[in-house]
Amino acid sequence: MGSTGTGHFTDYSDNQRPRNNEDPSEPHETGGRSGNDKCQRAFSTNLEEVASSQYLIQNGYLPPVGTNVFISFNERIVAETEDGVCIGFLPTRFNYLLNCIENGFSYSGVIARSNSIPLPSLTIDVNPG
Amino acid sequence: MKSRILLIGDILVDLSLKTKSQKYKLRFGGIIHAARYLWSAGVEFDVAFFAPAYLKSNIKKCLDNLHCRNSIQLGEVTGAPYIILIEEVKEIGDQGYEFLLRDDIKIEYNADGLRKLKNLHYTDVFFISGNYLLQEIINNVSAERFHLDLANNVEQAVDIPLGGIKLDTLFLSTSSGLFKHEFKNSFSKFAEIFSPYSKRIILKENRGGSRLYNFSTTKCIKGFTQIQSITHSVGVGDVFDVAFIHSMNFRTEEESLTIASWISSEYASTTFPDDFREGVNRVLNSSIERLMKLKGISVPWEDRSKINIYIAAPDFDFLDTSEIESMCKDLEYHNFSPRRPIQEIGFMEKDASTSKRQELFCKDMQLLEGCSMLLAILLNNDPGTLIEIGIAAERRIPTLVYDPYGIANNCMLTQIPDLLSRDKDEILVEIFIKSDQLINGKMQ
Repeated sequence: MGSTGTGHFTDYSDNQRPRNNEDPSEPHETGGRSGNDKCQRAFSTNLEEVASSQYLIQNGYLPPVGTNVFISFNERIVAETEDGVCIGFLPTRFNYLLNCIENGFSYSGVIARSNSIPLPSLTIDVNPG
Repeated sequence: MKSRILLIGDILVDLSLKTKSQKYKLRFGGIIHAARYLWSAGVEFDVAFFAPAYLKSNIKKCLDNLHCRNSIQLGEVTGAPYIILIEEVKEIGDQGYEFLLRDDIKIEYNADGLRKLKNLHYTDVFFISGNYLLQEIINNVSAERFHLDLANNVEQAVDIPLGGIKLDTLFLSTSSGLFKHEFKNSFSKFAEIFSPYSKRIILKENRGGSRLYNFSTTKCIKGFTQIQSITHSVGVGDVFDVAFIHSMNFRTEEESLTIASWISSEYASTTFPDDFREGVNRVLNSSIERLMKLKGISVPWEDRSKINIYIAAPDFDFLDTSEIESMCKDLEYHNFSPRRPIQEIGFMEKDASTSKRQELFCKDMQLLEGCSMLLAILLNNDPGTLIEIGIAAERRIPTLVYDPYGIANNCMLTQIPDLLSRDKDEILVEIFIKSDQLINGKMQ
């Protein structure tokens, strides 16, 4: 029987040992840093409260696919147009973006899907930077 | 004033077992979880611990790495390797901790360690209950404030052994034996039990937030959970505690609950110490006013039993229904009320008459009407399950679909529900989010 890779403690800060976290055949996680910073991740999400958004109320229609969007904080994490008009809110699981924004990250992207039926809905693709 | 914190408790080895979706993870647990926060936040701290002799050099290396100033071994553990096997790291349901040879644990107290401890003074000392006798230690410690997490080992409030010392903060979680034994559906009555022991109590409610009750101000403060994709939940409660204790040196109770919630969410999102440190520093650099404004999830324990969840599934005795049973058990672990129509109303026989069919249909629909959420569990393409998904969605009842075998392909099925997922944790998180919206009037 072979060893499974739990032979010693490895989750120390600044661990210099080579890591294999990207290798699915490696059976254990090691090292101080994953190399995966959530603030630097791109993401795609449906927006919430699109039907009662400032944009829809003002214009009577949804912004089209391809419209530029920007992420900001206004008591919640908000998706806005270039003019600062709210098109919807990001779901709660994106609350972590507040810490990223507060630490200098910025996020922008485009509307990937825009549908009025059966309910007004928007999907956005967002990148950091 | 600069805070000097002492952590007291067991140091163990946590081994998260390999599953289909996660690798083995071997690391130190017990009070080391709390130490990782203090290191991340750059706080001066000491550790007084209980551990087996064979771990001594590894513990020293670990504590040096965490910049622990003084470490004092208060007792040597014999009879067990002090290794915990963790079957399920995310606490989707009961985590199934396996504490090897726990019945044979013995502790030999170290008189030199206790003497050394007597000569030191701290702003805060934080005890995490374990296999040691608290009364043997507590009167040897000099501190301005005492805090205790009754993680385990105490089942009844009358057993809390404090040697006459009144705590500043007593932490409890909804997973603890003490909570399960003493909680009778009222937080204020539950909190009152602890007024002789502590100035304040904090109840940690897993993904449902937290509540603080201060006995001098008689103020109850709600804390919010920051829900994000979690990697594990091992030691997250300890990190919450110590982040609160540290924050109370320069912030209010409400602010400290907010900080503790954000920090513990960071801890749950990674097992890599440098990632965690970066997350901690980002939280501490952020404006506390903004963090508080954003709020989060609050689903108090006693409110969850009012959330009836209609389980749409082929819950028949001729099928393997273990996925349904396991999901319902997990929901009950978090105090939600799953409702299984076939179990409650009955199974329709093959040759059932029209009137019997109508009766069962009406009862099913009545049950659905009384539920605030529908959770479908796809074991196959059962027509009853698929139709119930459609009915619930059309009625705007929050509709979630758990697809453990990845069989959903039809676009109506994939697009109609609020969430379709193969990941049980994602389903559970969404149930907390939807429950928060229902309870706190946030439904769209």
